[in-house]
Amino acid sequence: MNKNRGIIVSVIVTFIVTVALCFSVMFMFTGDLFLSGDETTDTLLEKINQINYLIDGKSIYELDKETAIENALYSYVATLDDDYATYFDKDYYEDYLDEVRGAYSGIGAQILAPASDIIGENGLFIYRVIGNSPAEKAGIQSTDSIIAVDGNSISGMTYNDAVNSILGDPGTSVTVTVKRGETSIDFTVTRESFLARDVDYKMIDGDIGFIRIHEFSSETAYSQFIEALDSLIAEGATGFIFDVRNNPGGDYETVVNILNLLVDRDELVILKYKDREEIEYSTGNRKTDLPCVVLINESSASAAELFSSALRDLNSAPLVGTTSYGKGVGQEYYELSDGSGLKFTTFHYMTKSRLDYDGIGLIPDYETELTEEQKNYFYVLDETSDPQLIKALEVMDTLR
Amino acid sequence: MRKKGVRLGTLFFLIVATAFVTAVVTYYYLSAVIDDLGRNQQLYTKLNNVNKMISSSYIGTIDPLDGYDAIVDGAVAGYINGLGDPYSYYLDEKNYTLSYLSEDSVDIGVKTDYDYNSKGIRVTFIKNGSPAQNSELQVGDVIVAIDGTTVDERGYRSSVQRLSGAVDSETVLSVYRATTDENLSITVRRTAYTPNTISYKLIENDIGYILIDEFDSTTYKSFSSAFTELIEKGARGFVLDVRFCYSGDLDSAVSILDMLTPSAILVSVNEKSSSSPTLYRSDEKSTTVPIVVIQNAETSGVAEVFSGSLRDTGSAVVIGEISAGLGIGQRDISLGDGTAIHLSTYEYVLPSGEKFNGAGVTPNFISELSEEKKEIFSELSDEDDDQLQFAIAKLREQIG
Repeated sequence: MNKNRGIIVSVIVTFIVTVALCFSVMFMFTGDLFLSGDETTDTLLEKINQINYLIDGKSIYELDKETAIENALYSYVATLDDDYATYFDKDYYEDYLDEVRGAYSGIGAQILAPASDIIGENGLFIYRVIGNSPAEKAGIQSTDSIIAVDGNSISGMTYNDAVNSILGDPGTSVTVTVKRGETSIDFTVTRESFLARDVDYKMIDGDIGFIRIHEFSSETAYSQFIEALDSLIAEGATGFIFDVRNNPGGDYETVVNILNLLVDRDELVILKYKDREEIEYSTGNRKTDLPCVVLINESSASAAELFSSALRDLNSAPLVGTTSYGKGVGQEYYELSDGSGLKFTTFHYMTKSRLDYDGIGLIPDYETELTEEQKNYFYVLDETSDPQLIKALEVMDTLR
Repeated sequence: MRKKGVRLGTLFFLIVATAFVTAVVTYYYLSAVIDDLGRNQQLYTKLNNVNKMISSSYIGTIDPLDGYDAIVDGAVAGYINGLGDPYSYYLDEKNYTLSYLSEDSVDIGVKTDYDYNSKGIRVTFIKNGSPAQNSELQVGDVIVAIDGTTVDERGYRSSVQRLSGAVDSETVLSVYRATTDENLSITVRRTAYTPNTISYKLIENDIGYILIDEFDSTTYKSFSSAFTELIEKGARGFVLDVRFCYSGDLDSAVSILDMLTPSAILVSVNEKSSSSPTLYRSDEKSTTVPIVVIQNAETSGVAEVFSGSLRDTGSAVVIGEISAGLGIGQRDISLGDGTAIHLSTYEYVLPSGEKFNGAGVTPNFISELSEEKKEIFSELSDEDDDQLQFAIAKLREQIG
């Protein structure tokens, strides 16, 4: 009896120990699936599980899980009270990275969105031909109007249909008929991916270096700016007018590098992160100390405003034009493991004066406006027809 | 020795057997759970990563009271869009509460759809005797803001709910009227009214004409008294008009169908979650007068069940256009935490076995109305109403 009891006890103990061990091992491999540690994620997953179950049982439509998950993440990020936060799926993220680099695809003609969705006899007005684009290489100019594509008139077409007929795969060609003044000209353009020319420059008024920065793209703007600066200094410039009108901003590192060419060693940018404040100092290796004036308008944003504010604070550069857009916060983008990504606001910045213009814009020292017509013809205005540039030249006179 | 050997062998065998059984049982039990989690693994990992990034670096704040709920709501709403069903959506706590409280408030008596161009609520129909009819509001007007908040900002569905409110309260609507290119401010007083869903008259002394705007709880009663009254006045045949009639209550439509149809299946409702359809049958009693139904491309939902059922049972001749093809229905399914999903869960099947979702109900005889006449439908005279004239002609073939 005793012996038997001993056997039974040991069998039971062995049984329990084995079950416990086995269960623990199983759970070790799968247990992390049950824990997330975050209340929001847990609530959400619980709801999604419930919804999956309901949809499975009750919905007459099938759920496309892939799309549902992408939508959920997109909405999740969009719910943040952050105008600049976005979730990018994989394809969109790649496009976005191209945009940051300054890469475009298509023919490179920016169209002024027409008032009506149906295109009239005047066709599509080209507001700007992007530098270095296929359109520029072919000879199309800003203020030309596209009236036909591959021999077919676009009058009467919808805006979307017309634009889609111009867009296409890189490497293919399209014949664009434009109206320039009273004449019609055909151009054959090869669509391609290209890096835009971000900087245009010329000497005006004899010895004033005029440099227009279209965008602070990470791959192109810095080297092109150096080239412009070197070349104008070599030609004997006695002052600079920097034009960041319609410049939507761009890459933070790029604008800092460009500012380093222009300012002495000083506090360049004050960055306020969630948990810390950092001051970025300029290197002090500037290429020029010539007086400068900056042209801004309501479409100068972000990096363009940082550029203008820093030059005003550190070089006493007067700002001419209209009040800028008012974006003093920056975003960082994070890539997720599957190639998608997100960006959201992670810092607030200002320059040495600590003037906070976020949501307000930089108010110019000399306010000068353009008429609506002048705005449409912006990219063909020059020092004789551009009231803001004329004002900047006047201001420059007082500085030298 | 030998006995011990046997005992050790038995023990070893027991351990292995127990381990095996435990592993199988655990695996079997866990796999159901793991499978479910596994399907959401992608969402889970991404959400957790996004959450970590946001909580460590996001410069803005998330309201601890309802900020996180908003994030969960946003994500769930996005997830549901993965169904690709335009009629399914997520109801957050506020909207779910509104959806079942709305019976206590007064609507202004309009039918609407979303106008993508002006991002507003387009008025497609104004009910008889409604607050909207007593205001300056017209069919075709686009409501772009309600009490100062734009529809774009608040969203279409939530804005439509805001049109309703307490009895005798007032709402100020910012309205765009395309016909005169005017922006108007219209005040509507939400007086209590009994929606008059039908209107009727005698045509040519012997034809009863009944227009059904909507099938609601009052419709059957008004319909049967109008029917009786018209017969007493000498009607020998009827024209039932369900043009522009959409949505409504199936029970209400079935009651009227029952009255017009001898013993037959009127319609069946196939619930995804149920293996056997719910059948709606008619009793033997029915009217015997000839009936012609007029429908058009805007006839949808329950109104299509109405005309389709009469066509299939041979109780009426249907003329007009192919109807809209909304042959599915939705229910609010509570998620247990105060929120719900509005999900397409059932489909209508006509007596012939035809499912008309997406395809629409084809009339026995096609008769169309020009776009110009459709636009002024409510002011159209009987003589100018080509579809009505066609219906009368078809009825005359039967009653002489």
